Formats: sequence, structure tokens, C-alpha cells
Amino acid sequence: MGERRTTQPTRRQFLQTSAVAAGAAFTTETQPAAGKAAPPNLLFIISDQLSIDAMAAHGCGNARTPNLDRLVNRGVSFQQSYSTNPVCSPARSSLFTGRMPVETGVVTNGRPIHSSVPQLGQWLSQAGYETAHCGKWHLPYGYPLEIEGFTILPVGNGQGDLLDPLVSDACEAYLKTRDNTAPFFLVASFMQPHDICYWALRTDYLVPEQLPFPRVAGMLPDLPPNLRSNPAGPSKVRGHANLPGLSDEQWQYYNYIYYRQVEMLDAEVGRLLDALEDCGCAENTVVVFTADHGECGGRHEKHGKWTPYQESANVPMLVSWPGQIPEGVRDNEHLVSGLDVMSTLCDYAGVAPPPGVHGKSLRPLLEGKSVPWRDHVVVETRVTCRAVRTARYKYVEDPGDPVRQFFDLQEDPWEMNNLYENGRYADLMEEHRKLLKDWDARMTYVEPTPEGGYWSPDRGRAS
Amino acid sequence: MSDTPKELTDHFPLTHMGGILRDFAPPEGSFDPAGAWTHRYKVYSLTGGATPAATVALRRSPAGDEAFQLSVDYEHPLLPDVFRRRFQARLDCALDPLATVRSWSCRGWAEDRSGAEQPRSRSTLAGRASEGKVILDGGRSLPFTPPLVSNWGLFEAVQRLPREAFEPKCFTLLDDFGRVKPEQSLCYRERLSVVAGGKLVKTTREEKLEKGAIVREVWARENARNLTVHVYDHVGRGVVPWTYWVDEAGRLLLAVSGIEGYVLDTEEG
Repeated sequence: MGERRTTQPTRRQFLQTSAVAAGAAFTTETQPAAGKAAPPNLLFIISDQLSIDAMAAHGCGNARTPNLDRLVNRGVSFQQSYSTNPVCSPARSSLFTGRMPVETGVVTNGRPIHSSVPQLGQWLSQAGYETAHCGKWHLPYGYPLEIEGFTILPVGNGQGDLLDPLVSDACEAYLKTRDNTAPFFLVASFMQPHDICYWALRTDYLVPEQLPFPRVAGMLPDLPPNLRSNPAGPSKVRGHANLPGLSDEQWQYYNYIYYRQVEMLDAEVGRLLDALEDCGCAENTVVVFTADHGECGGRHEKHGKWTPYQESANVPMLVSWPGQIPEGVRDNEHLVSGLDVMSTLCDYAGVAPPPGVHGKSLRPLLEGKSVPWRDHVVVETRVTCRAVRTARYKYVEDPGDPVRQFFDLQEDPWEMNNLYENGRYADLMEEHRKLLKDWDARMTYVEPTPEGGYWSPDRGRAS
Repeated sequence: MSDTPKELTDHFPLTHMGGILRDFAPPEGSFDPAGAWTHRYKVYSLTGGATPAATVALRRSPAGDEAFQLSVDYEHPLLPDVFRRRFQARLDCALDPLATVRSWSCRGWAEDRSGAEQPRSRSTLAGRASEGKVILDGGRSLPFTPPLVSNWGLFEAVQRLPREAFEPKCFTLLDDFGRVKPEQSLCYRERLSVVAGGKLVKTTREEKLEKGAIVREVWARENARNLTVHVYDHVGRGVVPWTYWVDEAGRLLLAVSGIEGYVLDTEEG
């Protein structure tokens, strides 16, 4: 494995040291030169458990998402965008730091970001931004009352159905009452469609072939082609997140509910985008929308997330700034990662990202420039499992597990045919193994941070 | 099918509210759903159990022969009880089957435990429905297919609806005062006989076997009452299906949508 730190500066020491060492980044670059525009506002919208193909603008016929479609149609949608680790806390640690979970210490849910790794709130507040966070954090606490580097817009603790309207309400209040003396960096972190996680609990009470809501019988979504497919793979992939024994109708019903929750998210995003326009900030605000991970929805007979399969790892990444970024562009070429959010927002803010960040700024791509780009992305999962996605293939391994996976996503987009034991692909697989090995060597591993749990009534603060 | 009344929690989706409904004692006596009343509901998050999440008070005030006002007062405490998020709203509704909404206003804010409003937390939403358009304060206009029905208005409307004779109705939903969601429908599903109230006690029951008998421990209600409840379903775009349970007098006792549950706590008027 990669280099392990033996001593770690605190985040505050790191920030102070970095600020001195990169003094130019915090002084000349954040102060607009004469005649140079002030940095734009930044609105970062996070959804929980949204698969890229659950949006109407991306071809989903089962959900109407006019507001998410607004973002797609008014900006650039990166179709090959991948979570760094398709489960809440690890993925979110990467979104906020530009580092992989093995470097943030957030290798499973409910852990704080390692004290040596700065996150966006700290970084951009030091750069002169007014930073505010509303909604789910989960690093480690779900809805803490303090996050270093952010002013919290409090909404409470709970699930998407009750809290998401309060998030958009609080964000709207913030946008309409702030004093515009500094650019803002606002994080609106919605829970939906994560509420689907609790639907699995209800399947025990659903009699197969008897819907409890007869009126939806004619509205059920089609089943995915890979519903009953569970190809060989590492036990951490094959044996996890399974929900066997559901009938076809129960899976259809599960997805019916999921798509309604996607629509609930869409309504709240719409409210937020309307508020951005109504307060006069839309013309000077870069909007970035993504999700921490997707939802399996019965594909590979699984529910939830965790796996490196497309349904779990391939998430939306939308960037919109009308008048500044081309509109209606679907980029299916460039491999993009949750790592890239930090670099992109820093680029627009006019500051260098923290040292050690692995992400790349999407700005050159958004401006239509031809720049060298990565040829693979890595997805961690379940602590030790690794997947590497190249333009056409996906290789999955777990050290110590002899069973690997290799998919040709051009010929087999539903990942039903594991080519690992097909000798024709031996050389290709070896190339992918080497990519993983090289990636591993570049990582600066830290000890996993201690689990803090989701919420403690006695500890409303992030540690 | 047995006519023996069942527990409320034997019926999906109340199945996950066992701990709460075990001790649920619905109000008794007469009730005029078309009169003046206040219903307070406890709101629960149903994530594998029932966790208290919020409270909401709905107050109905008749306004002439063809209209009424519905006030909504919602409180969402923030653990560990440092802040709470609140909103207060008023809906002007037509006295028709679905309580078609004509105009509304809502203000939301966060306050600390002393009641002091938190800076920059106030939001307002107001609007009216006019000729197939929702016109929000600020000028934004959203078309809709009539009738326009508020999510909170449905809590009132189901109490006045016909029972088995109710024909399904389609509508556009005004969700939380500012989201317009088309293609909704409300229908009557079924009538149920249930037991509620009283006290759950452990007792024994003998079961005869082919040879001999065994004695099982079972839960039973003492001093319970049998209720007839009428069940309505609301489905549509952008909502996880809602189910409403209304008693014979017209009280909305319970409402559930996905992992969101409402239990009638107090009644005035």
C-alpha cells in the first residue's frame, strides 16, 4: 500500500502553513487585479443516492425531473463521472477535499475527515468567500451544528422527506437576506432519493404480486435487463447489498418509489434555482450538482449502493453558469471523478487547491479547451476493494480475493458478463492492474479516522 | 376473510409504527369536519421504528358558506434542542371536495431555544391560483391543470369526503406552498375494522393440536374499542404515496407517506 503518515499536522496548522507557503494564492489571486472580474458565487448542490440515469434529461422515462433537466440544458453534463467510493461519508470526504477516501481517513460511513486534510469550507473561507452549509454533512455527523469553515444553516436531523423542504427553505432565506459584500460558497446538501434505503425494510410486508396501492399498478417502471444477474466477483461485491427473493413486481414497486423520491429532490432543486434567480445572483453563480453515489434499484439483484457497478458508482456531475459555460453539452468522453469538485471550485474562485489534491479542474473542459486528461478513474469500495474504469473497461479486485471482475462496458453496458477468466483479455487486465498499482503508489494513506456515529444527542458538533 | 378487527399495525404501511400505535387512543365522540376545529399531529420519521420528528397544528376556520381558512403551524425541533425550524402558513380554500386552494402565505424561520429568531433564516412564500396559473409573490407564474390542491388541504379534505361512494379525483398538488406537482389522484381504498385504545397486556391462549394442546403467550387489548376507519390513497408525480385513515366521525387519525407518519394527538373544537 502507499506511504503512511507517521505524524500528522492538525488541519489548522496545515492551513496556516499552506497560507504562508502559497501566499500568492491567497493575496494576489483572490484580490481581483485591476479590471479583472471578482470571483463568482459558487452553489454546490449534493444529492444522496442519485444514479446518473435517473434523470429525464439523461433518458430516464420513469421520472420527470424538469429542474435537474434545467441544469443539464443550461450547462455541461459529464456522463462518465464516478464516485470515489460509493457510500455516503467516504464519497463526501472526496467531494470536499479532492482526495481519495484512503487519504481522508473516511473509509466507511460516520467518520470525520482526517485532521491534516483541509476541506472546501476552510479553504474558500480563507480565500475570502462567505461559506455556508445546509443539509446533510455526515462527516461524521449527519446534521451537525458546527462545521469548521462553514456557517451552518440549521435544519435539524432526519430524512429527505421531512428535511429537504427545510433545506431549500433555509437556503432561499440565506440567498435573499445576505448582504452581498463577498462572494458566497453555499452547499445545499439534499437527502433524497436516499429515503429509498428504508423501503427495503418494507418489502417483508409486501405480499408478492399484491400491491398495496392498486392505483400505481399501471405506472410501474420496467425492470432492468440485469435484474437477476450476479456475475462472479470478489465476495465483497458479489455478497453485499443483495436483496434476493423479491418478485419482479416488488422490484418494480421499489423503483416506482425511488423515482418519486427523485422527483421530490427535483422539486427542491427547482426551488433553490428559482431562489438563486429571484435574488439576482444567477448570472454570477457557478452551480455544480452531483451525488455521492447512485442506487442499484434491483440491478444485479442489489439495493442501495456500495458496489463498483455503474448503477452505484456512475453519478451526475452537472456544471452550469449561463452565459459563461456552454449549454446543453453532454460530455461522454472525459472520465470525471468526485475528486474534481475541489479543483473546479478553486479554479473558479481564483485560488490554488490545497497541495496533494488529486482532482482536476473541469474548467478547461467547460470552456471547450483541448487539454490532456486522465485515462482512468479509481473507485474504492468496502475498504479494500478497488475498481479502475478506463474509457471502455472496468477492472475490479480485492487483494486476497482470487475472484476478480473485468467488464467490457462498450459491449456489455449492464455488466453481466465477467471476462476475468477469458484468456483473450489477460493483457488488458494486466494493464488495468498496473494502473491500480500506480494509483496506490501515489496515495498518501492515513489511518482511518475514528467512527463518530451518525448522530449523538449529546454531541451536535463535528469532532 | 375474518371479520375480527385487527390492530392498526397489521395494515401496511402502519406496520412500522408499532411502538407508537400500541398506545394510540383515538379521540371519541362527535366531530364536525366542516366546522371549526384544531388538530395537532405528532410527526414521526419511520426509519425502522418511529422517531419523533416534528409537530404540526392544523386549524380550520369556516369563512362563509363556500370557503374556509386552514392555518398550519409546523415545528421541527433540532436535536439537541438548540434550534427549531418553524413555519406558519394560511391557506384560503374553497369548500369543495378537495379543498381547492385559492391563495396562501407561508413564513419560515429558525429560532433558538429562547425563541429568538436566527439571523438570515426567514423565508416567505405566498401566492394565488388564477385562471390555471399559480402566481407567486415576486412574479413567478406556473401553469397548472385545475383543481389546485394543497398537501395540507388534503388533511382537511379527506375528512369530508364520501366514503365508499367516492369516485377517484385527479388534481394538481401545491406541495409545501411553492412546488407545483401535476398528475395526482386521490381514491378511496377500503373500510377496515380495527381495535385501538385500551391497554396491551400479555395473556395466554390455548391452541389445540392433533394430539393435545399448547399454551401460547399472546398480546391482547383490554378495554379496547372497535373502530371503523376509511382508507384513502393519494398517488402522483413527486410524492411517495400517501395513505389517510379517517374514522366514522370524519376525523383524520393517521397519515403516512413513505417514512413520514402523522398521528393525531389532540383535538379542539
